[in-house]
Amino acid sequence: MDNGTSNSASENETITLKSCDGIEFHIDARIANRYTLLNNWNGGESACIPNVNGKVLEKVLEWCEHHINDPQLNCGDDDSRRRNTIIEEWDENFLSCDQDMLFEIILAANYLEIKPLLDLGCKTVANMMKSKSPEEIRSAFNIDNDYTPEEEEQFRKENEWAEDY
Amino acid sequence: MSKIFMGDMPNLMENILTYVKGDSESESLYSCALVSRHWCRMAIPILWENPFSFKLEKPTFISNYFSSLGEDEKFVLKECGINEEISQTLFNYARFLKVLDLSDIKYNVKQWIDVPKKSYTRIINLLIKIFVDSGATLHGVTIINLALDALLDVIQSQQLRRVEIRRATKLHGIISAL
Repeated sequence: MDNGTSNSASENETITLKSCDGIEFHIDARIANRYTLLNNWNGGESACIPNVNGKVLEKVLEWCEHHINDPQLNCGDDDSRRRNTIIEEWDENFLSCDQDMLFEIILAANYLEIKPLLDLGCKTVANMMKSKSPEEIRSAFNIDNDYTPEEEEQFRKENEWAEDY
Repeated sequence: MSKIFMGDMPNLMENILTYVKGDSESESLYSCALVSRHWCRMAIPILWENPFSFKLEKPTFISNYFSSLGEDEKFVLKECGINEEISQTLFNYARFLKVLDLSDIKYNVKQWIDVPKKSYTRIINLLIKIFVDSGATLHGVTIINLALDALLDVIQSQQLRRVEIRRATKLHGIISAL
């Protein structure tokens, strides 16, 4: 397993990334080494990361910096990764932001292929849904119920077994 | 509402709902499926990946699988002593099955209905036929005390990541099928 120390970049090396709204970030080159897509935008005069604004990129890079020495993920074991719903305290605090920012971080992590951050974001949203009623979930995420009463009744009839679990 | 929940990013929503399910949590997924029609379409395939693993006291979900049967096959159910009305369902739930664990299926069928012993094998065979016909894409199969020829159909029809055979005595046919 790669423990993160084999990155070729040294500790003092930095690279420059620019958000889509023109904000520049000078980051430890080892971060870009871990997440290949970040490397794609390294140093170009006019290159900037599309779809990710400065506020979101700042958060994403803060997370990457904190986790710079984490072991690399074993990508093959999706199932066991998904069963693990424990979130570390630092990560929990990090994602205790407003909901819009949380979703922006998820979208950026997805776009930039930062899988551990993507999983963390998805896990956080999933925890917000657990043990909630459909109405509570709708209200938490501002979603309209578009079931017809007949559909809802039929759905409940076919799936009420899951409620009894 | 985030675009993640509007249908633009189905992979992200699927990822989130898989975490909602966690190790084996059906109740929260059920609530998610009731949020809206789109959420239902996303949550139901995950809820039905392996409902047999939930080990319910009364696994009434099994009757939903039989809705795709033709009249002849429904007659088999009647012969087995199952007289309940089998009506059309919102989804073809069988095609969402990802894990076929024969011991779990056997346990659930016995919990579901009280019928003579020989009827259980017929019901299980019928279920396996339904899963094969539905086009379900299995990720894993667990077989205990192998005795069902229908399993050959399952194995031949799938690109399995894993086949687990425990305490099997009639391996010859299976190995040649692989």
